[in-house]
Parts: sequence; C-alpha cells; structure tokens
Amino acid sequence: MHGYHGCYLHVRLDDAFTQRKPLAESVLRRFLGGVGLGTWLLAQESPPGLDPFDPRSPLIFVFSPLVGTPLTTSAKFAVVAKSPLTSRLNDALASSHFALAGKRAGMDALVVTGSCQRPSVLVVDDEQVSVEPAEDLWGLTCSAAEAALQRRFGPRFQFAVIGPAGEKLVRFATISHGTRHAGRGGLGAVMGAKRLKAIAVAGSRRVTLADPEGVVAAARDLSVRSFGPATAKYRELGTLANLLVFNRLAVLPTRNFQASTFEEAEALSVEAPDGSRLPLAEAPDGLRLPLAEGGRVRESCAACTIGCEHIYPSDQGGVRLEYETAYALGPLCGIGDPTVVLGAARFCDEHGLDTISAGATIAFAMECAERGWLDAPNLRFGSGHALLRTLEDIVHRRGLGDRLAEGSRRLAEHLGPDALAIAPQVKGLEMPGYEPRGLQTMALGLAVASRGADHNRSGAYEADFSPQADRFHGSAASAKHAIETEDRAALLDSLILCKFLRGVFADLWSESADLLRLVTGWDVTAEELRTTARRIVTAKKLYNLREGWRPEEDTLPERFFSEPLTNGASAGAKLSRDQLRDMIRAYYRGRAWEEDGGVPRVTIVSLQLEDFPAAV
Amino acid sequence: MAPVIVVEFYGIARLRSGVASLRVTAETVRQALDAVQRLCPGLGCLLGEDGRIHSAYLISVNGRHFTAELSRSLESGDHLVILGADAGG
Ligand code: SF4
Repeated sequence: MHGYHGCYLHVRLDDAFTQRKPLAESVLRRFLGGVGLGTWLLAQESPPGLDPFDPRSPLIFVFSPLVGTPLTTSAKFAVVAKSPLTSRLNDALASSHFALAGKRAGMDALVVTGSCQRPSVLVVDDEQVSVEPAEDLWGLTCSAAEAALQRRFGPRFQFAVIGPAGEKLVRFATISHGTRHAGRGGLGAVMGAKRLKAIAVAGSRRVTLADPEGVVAAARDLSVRSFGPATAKYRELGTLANLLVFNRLAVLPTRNFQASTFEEAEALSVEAPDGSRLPLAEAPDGLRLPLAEGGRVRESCAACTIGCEHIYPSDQGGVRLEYETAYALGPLCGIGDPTVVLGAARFCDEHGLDTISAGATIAFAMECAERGWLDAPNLRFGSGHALLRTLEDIVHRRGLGDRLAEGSRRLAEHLGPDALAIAPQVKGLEMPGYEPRGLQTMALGLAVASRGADHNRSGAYEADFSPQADRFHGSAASAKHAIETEDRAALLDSLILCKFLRGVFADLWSESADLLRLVTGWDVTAEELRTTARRIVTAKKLYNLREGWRPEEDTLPERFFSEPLTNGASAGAKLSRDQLRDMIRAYYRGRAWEEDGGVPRVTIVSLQLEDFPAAV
Repeated sequence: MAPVIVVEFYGIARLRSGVASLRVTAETVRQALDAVQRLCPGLGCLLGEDGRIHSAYLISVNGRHFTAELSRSLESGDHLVILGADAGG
C-alpha cells in the first residue's frame, strides 16, 4: 500500500499495553485519514455511551496519506474524541512537525485509552513505546512543557502537550504543538483526564509513494499557485482582516451577540485607516512595538508556502492573532484595547484554552452579571481587567471560574431557561464569530454541524458572502450551499490539506483525486471523493446518533429567533424558527437522511457504511 | 448630475488601492468600478476577461447584498463596498 503504513498503534495507559492493529485498505480508501479515519476509529474503539472523561474513552491522533509528502500545507494531524463540552464527536486539526514525526513513527493513527496513575508522557519512538513519569511538567504552560521535553528527549522528538487548563479538566482545553492548537471541543481535557501531560513522537519510517516524481511535480505546481491571489489575504493580512469586513457588514458578534457592530473595531484591525496595512517587521526587534504601530512577523506551519500566521507583539512576547481569537476576546466581550486582547490571547495559548469558547463563555457571563443573574459585580463588558482575571480563574478553577470552566451551556443550565436563551452555543460548543441573523446560510451550517457551532466544518458563510445567496433570507435553497461547503471541508480535513488553500483549486474534487492517485496509486475519481465526503459527514452523524443525538440539538439559541439585529448594514435582519426548520429539513433531504435527522438504511448502504461500527 | 458614490475598500482591496475610501460619480456599478480602476491602478483588474466582476473581489451596495450586476443603478449617497473575495475563513 502506498501513502499509508496500513496500521494504527493502540496504547492502553493503565498497563502500558500496546498493539499495532492493521488498517484494511477498504477502510482507508473510504475514510482517507485525518477527520474521516478518526471518525471510523472513534466509533470502532469506544463502547457506546462512555463519558468523555471515562478512562476507556479513546483519544485519537490521526495522520493522513498526504502527510510527509512535499505537498504544501499537508503537514497536519487530526485529534478526535468524544467532546467533554458537547458529548458528541469532536475533531480538531493542528499542524506541523508533530504530524511529520508521528507518521514517521510508523503509524497512520495513535489511539490512546486508559489513564495513568500519575502525570506522564507517552513516548513513541519507532517500535519502542513507553509511558514515563512527568510530574515535573505538571503545571507548566504549553511552551514551557515543550521546551522541557525538548531538553529531555532531544531534537528528534516532537510533542503534543496540554497546559494547566487540560490538567484541570477545563472543558474547552486544547492540545498544543509548537504553539498551534487542536483547539475546539475540549480535547485537552480528555488528555488531562488520562493524566497525560504530553505525547512524544519520533521515527524513521517512511511510506512509499505510488508516483514519487508525479507527487514532486504536483507539489511544485501547487506551491506556485499558492502564491496567487487566492491566498493573498492569508499571506498579507491574516484572518484578522475579517474583523473590519464583518464590522462593515454588521455581522461581527459584539457583547455576547447583543449587537453586530463594534465601535472600537478599527483599534483591533490589521488595516491602517489610511489604507496601508500595519507593517510586517523584518526582525524580532519588531516584537517590541505595540500593535497599533505594527511590528508583526509572519510564520508558517512546516511544509507550507502560504504562511498565514501573523505574530503580533505583546508585553510577554509574540502572539498569533487570528480573527476568531480577536472576535471572542475583543468585541464579544466589548473590549477594544489591543493590549488586553493580545494579553488574553497569549494567556489562552500558553495555558491551553480554546480562545473562542473562553471568550464566548466569559461574554455570556458578563451579560448574565449585567442582568443580575450572576453575582459578579466586576464582570462587565469592556473590562479588560475582568477578562484577564476571569481567564486565570477558569484555568485554576477558582471561584466563579470553576463554573465557567464547564462552558456556557452548563453554566446556563444552572442559571435557568432565560440564560439558556442567550448562551452563545450550539450542542454545547461556543459560537464562532459569524452573526447568524445576518448570515443565514451560515445559520444553517452552525445549527447542523456535528461538533456544534462550527466555522471550520461548515463554510456555509461563503454563500452569504456572495451574490448567490440572500444573506438575510435563508431558505430551503440554502441547504445545497451548506452541504457543498461541509463536504469540501470533510475532504480537506481528511486528506489533510489546509483550508486556506481551497481557493487555489479550480476544481477541488478532481484535483484532489489527482493528488490522491499520485500518492496512493488508487484509481480514485472526483465522483468517488464526493461520495467519500458525504460518507464521512454521515458517519459522524451515525456516531452522534449512537451517543444520543436528538433532533432538537440541531438549532440555535432562542436569542437568534426573538431579537432582530438593529445595527448598521444588517439592521432589521431576523431569523425565524420556522425558517431555520425549513432549511434544516432541506439539509436532511439533501443528505438523504430522514425527516427527523436519522439515517435510513438505504443511505447507509449507498454510502457503504454497513460495516461502520456505529451503524451496525 | 451623476450621483456621487462613496467607494469603501476592505482587506486586500484596501491594501491594493492604498486608501480606505474615495468618492466617484457614477450611475451604475460598472461606471463606479471604471472610475475606481482609473483612480487606483494598484487594484489590478476589477473586471475579469469575461467582463464580469473579477473572482478576486466581491462588491456590495451599502454593505447589504452582494451583487454581480454591473448594470445595477446607483443613487447619490450609495456606498459601494469592495472586498477581497475570501471574506471569512
Ligand atoms: S496556511 Fe496557515 S494554517 Fe494553513 S498550513 Fe499554512 S501556515 Fe498553517
């Protein structure tokens, strides 16, 4: 088999039992790798109904057929587990050398079950697998832990670590590698429940490629195209460029979705008011400059020619600032001071907190406090001090922070139905920075996504930001856009290629088939990959059904149906429950699911999911 | 007298044009884009070879709906918002 090792490594931490298990080619071809293969493995390796913190719950790291090839943006891995935030399937991607080293360790995936007696590090070095003590690392930040591990194990190894948030089982803790995070859904808490501070991987085994020269030629071509206009935003400005655009279109969620424009947006933007961009610094000296004066530096994941990461200076050092982080820690909390936002972003990165969930949970708590539902007199929109203090309280589970560490849905359930109506979450996952009343195709994408409110598994906003859709009047016709973007994400997340490359492809499906053919030698076609993507989305649904999914989970918080937007270009935008229900029904029909979201036998058969563990 | 239109630039469009906004006189979206093109050569082609809006850009009138309709008429005080085509993500 080309492109794969054809096996995964299962490690049971309780007794250090390890086993390399074969992966049939029929499974790999149907699920590819990354998120797709992770979905299959999660269903295969976990008994139904387990609590995510149950030691038997698997935590799965998945590589892909393209990892290790020279194809740009392919150095990525997926982490898959049952989410402690949603109790549904959760998959998150991270990048770089951990993916390369993990695959070189001779496995297509690593499945970790059980838990350690004391803080430990799991070490996989080719055939050698060991569980070693790591008490000295417990309590360290992500970067300090990685630095200590590097000193201990040397430069051959790469590490995935958790920060203090994961150790304390904060339900939106991340897993970090090289300051990049598998961020959403609380995977770091699953790792913390296993008392696993880190996973170290190294290896020397390479897979063969079906057509090595062809892969090199394709990689060269893709790299050249990756310098074109389709990636200019990511290269030259970064995702932070979304902030002013969203503000202008009045879809920038502000003060816990009470408004959709933010009066201080310019202060957080990457574009200077005179039309120039804030300058990129050539040297690390630039890290001394405050945000408003520029001083960004640019970085990239391993094997990436785009380099979308724009690092901003802060008092404590450089901070990677993405739109989602700026939205959640800025406008959503009513904060326009870039120093506070950068400090909060850095704190989250270092301690292993998902910035979206952290910011959204705090913004929700701020609104509850202002309404008198929470006794927290200092927790007010716009208070940078309150934001920074509350982040610390969450990580250390101090006072109110202990309740916020459970996420917005659990806090809302404690406070009552009025609070639940304004908790910014779907299925328990806090919402990204897309206002659903002004982006109604995205409203559908957010409502139906398998892991909860999600802008990475659904790119339905692409239709809203185009002349193809009326962003204020979602309808049954929106379903096809939501399905198409969800399918594209399922393919990219399973191959794995970075989504920021998506605009480079004239035809994602046929070009992906070409790449996969060169790597694996399979006679795969665009049509087969379309079916593969649909299969992966439906497989996630089957897993969620097995874990207790109910139709009422595919919805949005009540606020979005009862409060029209009043600001700027989206003034008057409203979304009704009936409208969303029509869109969801059309989405289910488009997926060949049942009226209530169940998956009929005929769909299971047509997608070749008969042997999918959660379908049996 | 032809209507006065405010043209706003965001993201890559702002970077390429070198300004946050400017005023042009135009009766249609096409006329406004032609005027912008003359004033901001750094933007490159706003219209593709097929005569439609270039795939690198998105155009919205007053920030509400996106339009591909070059013949759409404009009124004095309208704002033409020009963005890079990769909003979101
Ligand atoms: S585009 Fe950005 S996120 Fe994607 S691989 Fe490159 S540096 Fe990483």
